[in-house]
Amino acid sequence: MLIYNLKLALKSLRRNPVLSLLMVGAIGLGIGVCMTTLTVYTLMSNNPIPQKSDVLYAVQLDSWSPDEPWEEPNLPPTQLTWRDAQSLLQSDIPVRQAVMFRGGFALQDMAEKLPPFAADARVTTRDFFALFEVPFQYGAAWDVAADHDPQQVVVLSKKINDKVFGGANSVGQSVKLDNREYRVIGVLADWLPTPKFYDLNNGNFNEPEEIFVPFGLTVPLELQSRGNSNGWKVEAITSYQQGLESEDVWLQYWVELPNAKSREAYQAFIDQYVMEQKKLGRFPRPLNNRLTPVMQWLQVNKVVTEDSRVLLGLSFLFLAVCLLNIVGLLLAKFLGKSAETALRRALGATRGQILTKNLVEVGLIGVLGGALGLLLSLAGLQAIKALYRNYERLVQLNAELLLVALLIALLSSLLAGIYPAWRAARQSPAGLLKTQ
Amino acid sequence: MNQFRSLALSFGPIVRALTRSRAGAVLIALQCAITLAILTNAIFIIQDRLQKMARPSGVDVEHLFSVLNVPFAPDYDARTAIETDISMLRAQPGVIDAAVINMLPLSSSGSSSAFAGKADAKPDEYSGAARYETDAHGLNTLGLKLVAGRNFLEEEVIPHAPISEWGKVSVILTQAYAKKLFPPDGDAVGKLLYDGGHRGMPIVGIVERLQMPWLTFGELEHSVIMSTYTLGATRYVIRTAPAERQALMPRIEELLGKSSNERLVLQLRTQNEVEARTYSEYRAMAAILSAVIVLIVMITGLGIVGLASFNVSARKKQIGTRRALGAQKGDIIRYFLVESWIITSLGALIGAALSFVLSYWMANTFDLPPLDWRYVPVGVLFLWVLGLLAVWVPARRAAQLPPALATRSV
Repeated sequence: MLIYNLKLALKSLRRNPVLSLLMVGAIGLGIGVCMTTLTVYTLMSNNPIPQKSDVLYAVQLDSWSPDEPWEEPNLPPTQLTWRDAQSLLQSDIPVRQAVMFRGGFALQDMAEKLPPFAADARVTTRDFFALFEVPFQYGAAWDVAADHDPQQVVVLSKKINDKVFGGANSVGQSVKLDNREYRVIGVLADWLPTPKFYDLNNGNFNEPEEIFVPFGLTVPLELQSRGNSNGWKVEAITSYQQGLESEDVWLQYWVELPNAKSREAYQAFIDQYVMEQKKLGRFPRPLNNRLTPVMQWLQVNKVVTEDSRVLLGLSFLFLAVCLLNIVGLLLAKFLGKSAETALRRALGATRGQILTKNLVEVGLIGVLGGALGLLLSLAGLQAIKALYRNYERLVQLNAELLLVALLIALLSSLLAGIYPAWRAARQSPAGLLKTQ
Repeated sequence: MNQFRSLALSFGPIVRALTRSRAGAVLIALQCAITLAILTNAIFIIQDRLQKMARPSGVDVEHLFSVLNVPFAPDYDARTAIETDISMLRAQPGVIDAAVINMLPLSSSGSSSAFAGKADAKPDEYSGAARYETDAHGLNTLGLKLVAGRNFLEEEVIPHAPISEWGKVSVILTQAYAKKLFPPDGDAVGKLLYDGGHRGMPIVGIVERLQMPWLTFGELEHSVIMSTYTLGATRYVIRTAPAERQALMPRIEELLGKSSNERLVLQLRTQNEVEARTYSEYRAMAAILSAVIVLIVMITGLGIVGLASFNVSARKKQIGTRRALGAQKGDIIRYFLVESWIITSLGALIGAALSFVLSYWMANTFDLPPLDWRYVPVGVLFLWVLGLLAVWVPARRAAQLPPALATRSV
């Protein structure tokens, strides 16, 4: 029966090729536009670390100015001062914790075969890798001592290891960073958290840094943050040490708190720390310290852009226009075939059978439109890639989204087809046959 | 007049016919309504973005390029190196001027500070500004227009001035920032600029315009230029004679030594490129919305064509009858045009309301300005034209049907 209905549907589509093309094209365009914006939107709101996103927290202490909040409505800064980060490192409540900032070096191989090139660096403590489950291809992280003492060791990303060592196991070998020798102790496997949640200061969808060096190097090398550094207090800063002691915020701080109990304990710890600092004249604002879980952190940092939300909204309105268009065309088409329908009814077809026949035709249009929509969304995503910088990693269709596209296409075409199909099936055969 | 009467008279039957087969007409009207709402709001957003992109940054965009110079060798003598580089750059044929500078307008990264116009200013009297640091050639290189006072003197330029020595540094403000700190007329030359706690910096001049590096940080034209420069990572900005820029860029990159063992030379970019990168999201939004507009107009237009075609073939007998009873071809065409006009007008009415609802929702949810009402009548006009154009071909075909159709059975 289904085969028969499909045959009828194909025949009917072929009888009015322009109209059929118009309907398939309309559905296709609607789906294509929606899928493009939906893909960008879902990938922007992607959970970068689903297995741990509710036990990882960004630590926010409100060390900002007494006159105004960091951001309305009374939000604490998204980064910490050096002094506070040092104090927090003393706590053993978190299972794991890491302090970090973005740095940069000129990197060169020891043999000086390559010219020196700029390498983005993450300066951080040992737990960074375990905290975020960063996969290693070779070697491992540095030991805890390197978090405090200057050890000239480095972990390379896969990309840099491929570039400098041709992808070989380089653990034990050395590279030059700013003309100093560093021993390679680890090489990462592919690691692309999207968005780059652990530091959202310089591009939400950038790749992770190219090299990782121990936090203990910061003071001896007088490393400066290449990310954002913000201050509110007028302070005379003439030396590196004074910079460290200032109220400038420039460090990201993450903790792993596996349960409610440890979270409460840690919240109490940071609150108590701030209360003590208040006695020393720091932290002029009312107590406002926050432990922000990953997904909420992405919201606080406005990772999903407004434009993408505006476009998502508009594209669903666009789909609505396409569907209204199809309802109108189907209605015209089915009612235009009244004579044929009446004949079928007179020869014994039930209303249900007519309805089924019409819905199969609608479904066929939906499937064809969905397929066209997918092709169009591939083209749309290429266009997005060309239009935006740094979105290369954002715009990839995956199986899940393919399924969603087909589902939307089928559902929306059936939704559009139900009324016309029902209207056509409802007509009484006698009246129509008479006029012949 | 007669024409008009017959047009007015034809309304009745058309409306009666429409109410009899409501569904099709309502669908087209709804489609027109949503199309209008999308159209007005999308065009409004596009206009908003294009206007923002058209604001002049204040510099000689077409003749500027810049590089980022990052020294990394521990014993690098930056002071001498910068002097050597700059005099080499200025000596190149085709170079009009060159300067050392910490950032560029719309470069998306750089420094800012809060300043006030008096020593005893209260916290809320401080105002944020982009903090440019450059030498005595900065103004001429960037092509800034001095509207009051003078440029820096060579002896006012202090390389690597720490904050404690900011009192010895001179500053030049933008007109907009001078007006902010010294209201109402921004009469700032000869006065002092305070960053709190330190000695004031003498304000020696005012330039017409210089945008910040960032689009979404305070007032775009609130900038301060200080007569100092850092000896760390810094930029060189070069202004060239017309048509020389293209050829000079790779040459100068070569001369600076793209990769020496002491420093990296990065981000060799024309000023057009620098600004375009910062505006890339604006441009992308405008492009995407333009595509959406073209597509939706196409869909709605074709929808009207399709439906009208079907109406024509469904009413062949009636058209034949009317023709047989003496209706002219023009009458038939007019019938379909008026019918389409009534439907699109209904859609326009709902669409106008919908436009404002959509705009209200977007302005409340997002950081978007509310819709300028003038876009709505223009959109309605466009919709009318679209409706009439779309129905024209099927209407013409209807008019060609022979009157004899009425007597024939199907």
